[in-house]
Amino acid sequence: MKRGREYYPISRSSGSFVSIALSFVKSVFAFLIAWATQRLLPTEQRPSGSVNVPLDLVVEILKKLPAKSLVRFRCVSKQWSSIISSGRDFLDSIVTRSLAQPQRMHFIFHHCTSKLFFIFTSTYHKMADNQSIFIPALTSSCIYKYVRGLILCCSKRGFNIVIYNPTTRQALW
Amino acid sequence: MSKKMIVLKSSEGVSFVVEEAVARQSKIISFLVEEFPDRELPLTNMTSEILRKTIEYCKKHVVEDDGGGDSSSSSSGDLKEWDVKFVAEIDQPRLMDLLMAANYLDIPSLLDVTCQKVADTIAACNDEKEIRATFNIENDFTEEEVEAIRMENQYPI
Repeated sequence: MKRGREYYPISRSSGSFVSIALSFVKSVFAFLIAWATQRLLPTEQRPSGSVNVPLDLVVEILKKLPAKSLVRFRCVSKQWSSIISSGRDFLDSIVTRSLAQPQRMHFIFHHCTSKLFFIFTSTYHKMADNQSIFIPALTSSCIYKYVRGLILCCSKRGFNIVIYNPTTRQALW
Repeated sequence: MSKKMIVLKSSEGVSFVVEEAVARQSKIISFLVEEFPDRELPLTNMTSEILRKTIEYCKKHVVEDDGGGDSSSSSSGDLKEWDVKFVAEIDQPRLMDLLMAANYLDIPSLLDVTCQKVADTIAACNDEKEIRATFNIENDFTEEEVEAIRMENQYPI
């Protein structure tokens, strides 16, 4: 088989430089076009109401929800769940907002009968919002501390420590 | 003294002539006005309806520099009330478009108001199914995963 002769440009190095520069310019243009089409897609091309809300906006919206709603709606989607339960900034902003609100009066009664339980009631809540919580693992001889809406219980010997968050209905053992 | 006017063009090609002070509440427009003075600014991702709503909001919120006691300057209490009424009149799909417009044009106060309204709508939903339906969110959880999340938020009995 006869091989054809190969011709190279005289200034080969400068040729490759030009082609690299060209491909770079092309890729920059491709990126700009992709960015512009994504960013500037006219509204009427999308079905109304199905706006693809960017993540940072979803976070901003969720930050404005009351804590109780956040807990209830964690199972909307994986994205919501991960924002609500694992974002440190997110949790901090909820705490900051909560502390900035006017102080609400809460009454906490604890009953030390055979089964230990708490009843929460608030001057701001309806009767239906009253909650009672049973704490089964600890004996009735417990020490309680209330801080920023959290309850810490520990048995007198200090073996069992539980932190309760009545707002989110979570218990940390 | 005549005020400087700016021309904003919607995706349908409709031109809106607004005072510079009104338009400058958008940080993006503020930047564009300085970079490209005396030019029409095309906002190709905003419909006329949404652009009109955005301008209506900005007109209400414009701070008069000359302190001429213009009717547009209102006390903060009245303004808050006006904001609530403003977003209450908008239906769900348009509210989302307005939210995106506020985000795109970088108007912090409008973004705040629209985010709050969306949050209120979410809080008013009875369950997660209603939220998914309202906001077109796909459920990517299995039944077991949902159950596991629910269990986390229940005190042991």
